[in-house]
Amino acid sequence: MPARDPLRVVRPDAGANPRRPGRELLLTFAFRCNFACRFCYVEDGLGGRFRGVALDEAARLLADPTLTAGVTRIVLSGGEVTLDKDLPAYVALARAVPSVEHVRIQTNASRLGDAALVASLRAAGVDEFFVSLHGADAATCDAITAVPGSFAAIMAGLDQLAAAGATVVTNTVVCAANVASLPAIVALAHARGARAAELWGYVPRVDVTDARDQLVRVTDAAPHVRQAVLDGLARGLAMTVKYFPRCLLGDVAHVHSDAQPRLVIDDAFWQDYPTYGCLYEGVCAAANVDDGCSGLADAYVRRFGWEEDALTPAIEADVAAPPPIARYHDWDDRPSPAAAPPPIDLAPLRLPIGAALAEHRLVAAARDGAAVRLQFVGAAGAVAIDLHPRDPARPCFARTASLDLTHPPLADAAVIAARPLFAAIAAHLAARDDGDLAAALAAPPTPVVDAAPLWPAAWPAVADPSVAAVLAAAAALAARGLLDPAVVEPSVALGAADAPRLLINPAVPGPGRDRAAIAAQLLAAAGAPPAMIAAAQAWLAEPARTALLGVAAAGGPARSKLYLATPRAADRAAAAALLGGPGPAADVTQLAIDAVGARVVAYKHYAPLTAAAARATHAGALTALLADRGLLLGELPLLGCTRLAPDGAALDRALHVDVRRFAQLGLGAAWAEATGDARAAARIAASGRATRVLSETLGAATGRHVYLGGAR
Amino acid sequence: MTARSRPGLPLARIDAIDDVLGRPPPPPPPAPAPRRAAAPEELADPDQVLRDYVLAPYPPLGPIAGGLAAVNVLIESFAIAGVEAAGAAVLARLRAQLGPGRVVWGVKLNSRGLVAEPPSIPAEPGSSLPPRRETGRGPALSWELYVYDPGGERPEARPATVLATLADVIAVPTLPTAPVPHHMWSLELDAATLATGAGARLTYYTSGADTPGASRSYALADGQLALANLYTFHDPRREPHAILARLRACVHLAGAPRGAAAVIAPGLHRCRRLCVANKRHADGLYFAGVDSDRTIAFLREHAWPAPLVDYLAARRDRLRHLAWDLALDAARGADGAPHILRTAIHASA
Repeated sequence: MPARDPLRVVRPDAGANPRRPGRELLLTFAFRCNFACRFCYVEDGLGGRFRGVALDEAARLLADPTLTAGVTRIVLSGGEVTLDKDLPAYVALARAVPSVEHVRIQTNASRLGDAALVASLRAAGVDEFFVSLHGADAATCDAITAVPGSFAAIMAGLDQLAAAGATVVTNTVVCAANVASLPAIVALAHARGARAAELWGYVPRVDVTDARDQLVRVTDAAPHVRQAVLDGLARGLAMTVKYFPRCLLGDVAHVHSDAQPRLVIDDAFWQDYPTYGCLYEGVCAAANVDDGCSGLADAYVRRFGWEEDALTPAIEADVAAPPPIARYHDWDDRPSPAAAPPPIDLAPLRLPIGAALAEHRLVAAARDGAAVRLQFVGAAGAVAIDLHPRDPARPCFARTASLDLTHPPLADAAVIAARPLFAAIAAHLAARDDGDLAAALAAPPTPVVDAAPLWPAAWPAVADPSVAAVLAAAAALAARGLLDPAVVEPSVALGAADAPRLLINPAVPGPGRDRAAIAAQLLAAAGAPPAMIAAAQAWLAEPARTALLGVAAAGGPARSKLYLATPRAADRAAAAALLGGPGPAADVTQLAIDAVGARVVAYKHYAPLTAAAARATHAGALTALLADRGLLLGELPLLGCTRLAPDGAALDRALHVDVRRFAQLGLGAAWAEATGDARAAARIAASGRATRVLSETLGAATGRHVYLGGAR
Repeated sequence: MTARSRPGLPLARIDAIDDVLGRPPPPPPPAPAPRRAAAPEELADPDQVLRDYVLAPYPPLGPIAGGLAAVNVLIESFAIAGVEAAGAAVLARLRAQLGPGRVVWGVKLNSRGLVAEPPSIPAEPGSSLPPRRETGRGPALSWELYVYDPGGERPEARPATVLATLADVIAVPTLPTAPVPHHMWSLELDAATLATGAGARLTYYTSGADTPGASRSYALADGQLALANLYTFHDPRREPHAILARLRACVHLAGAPRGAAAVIAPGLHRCRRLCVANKRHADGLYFAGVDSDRTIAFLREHAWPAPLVDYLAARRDRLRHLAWDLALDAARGADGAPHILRTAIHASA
């Protein structure tokens, strides 16, 4: 890390691209140019193949608030737009968009030596000029543009823009012809009045084999790109690097961003747009953010390879360690991983993971309540900085327009060591904080505890008083954050109209959650027998144990159910002792008790089934349906259920099939249709819920169910 | 952060801008290329689970309605090789025996056998026999049909049972008397097998419980089982280092001037699963879950017969729901770089 702090000189008004997709709109027209740059795809890649946005189309488009809402900058691009007589009219349309603050043109500036033209463009509303500058001397520049005298014309244009006080951002395509002179190009840009400079890797559109020989090996280019960035920053230029591997930029990686404005162009444009990638993209933090690193163009890989020895994925530690080798046949059922917390969008900060700041590097960002904690590692060791939404009463070491900056308690010596970092991040954020900072980094909303409907909105309201009481109790618990709406799952009894049913998991631990009390409250609402409630409380007093509760309308007193998971022998014995009833066999992994009102009517013993056993002993309409859908029974989790009367007599057997992995097949509605219950099929389809489990009681026209997921 | 693939589009697009601007729709696609196969095309069944070459289910990549089944490509390859009837008969027997979606098929192209006719080898001096054709260099296309029975729970999938249903269609191999442990087995066919009844080759595959992710194959020849291939399976998004380590340890793949790019083309690194295989005379890679566009590009790049590539290309919109499984075998050449010997496309039927 050099002594200079590159961030201190970045100016928010310098005109660099905002790294906020959606705020910038690129409008394309005039696909012709008075230059013929060797790397350019406009004339042969766009002109003649695509229509630019005609003036009348632009008028309609820019008057459409659904497309322009929030747009603060409109970029007009061609070709060389100054060759188009309608340019002032396009500018006027752009300026008429209420939210637009800047109108930028992309230009080679060769015609801008004309003071009158510059004045007219500025008068029309152009306030930013994105000038292509690909060489630091006439020989290099003219060779690239294939137009003798182009360099002199560009210089005249830049001088005229400087004289007019216009904001100029230069754009340099990094190619074989100019890579060694990148620092000189940046120096020239600064000398001619540019406020910002962008260095773009060559985009090989219509050059999939690099027949133009424009690609330069990134390992060869990296030293020049880095030096150019450092020089630019030292001169006060805002620097941006695009389409170049971020990991090769070292301590100036923070200037890298592949974010681009939204582009208005023919849909067909995208059909052969160059694709980019990296072998490490799945584990690289830099590749997995909105303005992140795109990697290498396909054409590059074909010519030079993946550069797997030179590129290094950034900060892999936060990627859950995978098994050393993926399991063969890992389509065997495995529980879904817990949902990852939503990522923190660091883009508004322009401070991606890996960014360097005052001899520290940002290594992680995590949410802590309403705050975002940035974890740095560097000269002062590990330093955490918390960003809070503004609160005038909060003590903090710095404030920006929308944030309070604090740090955890530190010893005095540690504070002194970290002070440069504190100063640097305060300056960095202050320069970018316009009072919004993506709504103070999108502070987490108050937990939506009562917004998700526990009962599918498209279904008739629950009429059964017991089920309604359970729903109300669940809603009250959810409102207090004690029950996740996702664990309140409706199910459908096929062939039994208006018989609402619920399955609830009260056992998910969480802050302030007393699982036993939650279960007791829900079972009491269902009208469950006191013994069942007591059993649930005793069971869930053990943290490692899980249970499910059920309630179903039964045309009188509701059915209440308690399911206890018994994966181990000790669990089985404990569950049997709690519930009573017939003793379970050694393969039973779940015990349940079923009551109508206060009366226990059945015990259920669930045991895993092999596919062969299911086919042999549980063949019925459900297995026929699955076979008809091409589902290999061996890959579906199967449970056989034996229902026993309190005296131990076998009542019936059922098959339960977990079909979560086949959500795309709509198996819930299909099972309903197969049983002839079209109304249930429609209800399932309208629920918006995923089907979890199908079940069938063997040899009975009833006892067929579809279990759905909870609200998400 | 969670591992995920990136779209690789640096520009932010606005979808359907032509609609927004009220522009006329693009012209309709040209008429599909003619088919060689006589059998009617098989439509995709929206109710069927789509499965890859290890029968792992995958969600459709696009709308299925109006789409074509993957098996049409297999049938077309039979037709292009002039063995449609025999190939389709074998396939039909297998599908009838195993049920829908349970047959995994692969079509292979021997890169060295692109000539229309195998080269002639002069007869021995003084011999009255006509010149014979060199074996192993043609015809270019061959096939492998795979039968899975991972849990050993499917008696209908056992080799003896299945082969019995094929005995009147092709010459089936004689099985070992004692059962051979396996989770999958395959029949390797070529045009001669299908056209003349020459013997099909049988291979057993075992998934190594001792080495997670590793699988081995044993080829049956003359009643003997010989170790053939070793496979490891990887998630390319999460395990790039493991994959690269495997490639560096493969004598036929390591040392290429362009490194891994010699065998992992752009886009294939985003496949759903990548398998590295060590074979007797080559090393191989298998890319599971490749979309139709990338598959067509792969087949073109590796000089597959134009009628087959054109068949896919002309119907790409009706094949968009499918993910294909591609493979290549490469061997180290005199220059030290891997040279592609064989490529393949797999799917299930």
